[in-house]
Amino acid sequence: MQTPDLVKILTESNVEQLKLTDKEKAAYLIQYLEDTINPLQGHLKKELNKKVAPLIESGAQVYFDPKLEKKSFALKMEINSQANIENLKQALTNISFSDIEAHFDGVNNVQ
Amino acid sequence: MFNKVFVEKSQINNPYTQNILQKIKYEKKVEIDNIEDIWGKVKKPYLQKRTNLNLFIGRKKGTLLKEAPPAYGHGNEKHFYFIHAYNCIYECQYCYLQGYFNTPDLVLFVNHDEIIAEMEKIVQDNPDTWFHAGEFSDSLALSHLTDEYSAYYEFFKKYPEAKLELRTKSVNIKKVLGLAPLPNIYTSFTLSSEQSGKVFDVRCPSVSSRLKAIEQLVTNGHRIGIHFDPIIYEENFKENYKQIIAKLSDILPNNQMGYISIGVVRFTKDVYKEVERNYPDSLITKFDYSKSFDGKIRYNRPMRRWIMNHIKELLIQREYNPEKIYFCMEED
Repeated sequence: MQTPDLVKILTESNVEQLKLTDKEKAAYLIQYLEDTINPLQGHLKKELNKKVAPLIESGAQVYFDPKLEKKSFALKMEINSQANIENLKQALTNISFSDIEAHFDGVNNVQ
Repeated sequence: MFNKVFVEKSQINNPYTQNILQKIKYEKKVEIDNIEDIWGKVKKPYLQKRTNLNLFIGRKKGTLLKEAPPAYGHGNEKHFYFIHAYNCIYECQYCYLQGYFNTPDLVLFVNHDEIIAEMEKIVQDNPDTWFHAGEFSDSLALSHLTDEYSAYYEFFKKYPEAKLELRTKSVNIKKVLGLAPLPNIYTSFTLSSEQSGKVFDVRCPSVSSRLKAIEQLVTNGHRIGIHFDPIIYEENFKENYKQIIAKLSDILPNNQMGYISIGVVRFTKDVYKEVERNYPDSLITKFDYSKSFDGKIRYNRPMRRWIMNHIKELLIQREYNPEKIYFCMEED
């Protein structure tokens, strides 16, 4: 699909129903174009996000090396209650660092 | 074939020089003192090789054998590459030679006796050393002109523990087929999917022709190395590589396969700029790359490791020995 076609879809009524902001539309467009250029990259990114999903759900922000060279990530989270701490603790027990490492070593089931 | 041929005066009577001059076509011959005085002194655009290619014939001075960087070859032995030529008649879009030298003009070195003497020194202390030909030029593409194979052959016959790798994309295997196979000489072919070969290996023999050359060598008892390197991600990547590996396994049995290396496309910053300049419409410049562990531009780590693991898996499925498969120029 050519970029102008996609822009047209993003401005059509069915997309309007999604109540996307212009910024979100732009983000979708960028994501779409990135996936078009490199679909494998998109799949790998989704897989990586799945592996840290419990952390994101607990309210933490997860930062990977932007070049994805280092097998590490940083966490940022605002803690303003004991519940936040409990959620984070729970989330941390639900993720496996060796799974994340394996992902960086190319071991995953991306189709 | 060549516009001008520059020959070092000291090498005019060298039999290799005479042999080359008898076999090639050229417009003018110029005798010079030193290749280094002229070759690459003025920047010559890489793609001028298509229309205006000169040849230099001379003596390789300085280092004749260079120790290869870690993860260059298979096994724990020492690895050296020897420099018998600079530049290549092929035009692979990813080739690092486009950013390496100031000129695409070919250089053929004819002091093979000196190179062999250096090899002899190395094998005294490290008899199982690997020597690789084809780092700065295809090792066989012009072998019908240069005719040095038999000299190296005799060396490796004398030193059976030392190993020779002839890296190539050519199908010019007549010289190799002309002598009985030795277990320590490996002709190694760069392979990719047929689609990738068609698109990126400009002016090279097709991947299917390379497979035919492999088959001929195998039938005649020669040992083979394979380089799936550089792999460039493409649409239908899995299926395309599955097909090529299936074809390979039909013709290359494990016992004649020396090793298989796997690597993904990579560039230094300078080479990448040259690629963009020389092939602005090529798909090769349309991917996302990032600076990796050694400063070279590559796919990011998860992507390149996934690609390499996948190829390795396909090879193992075809019953190639995993111990003979290695990742080239990749960190742990």
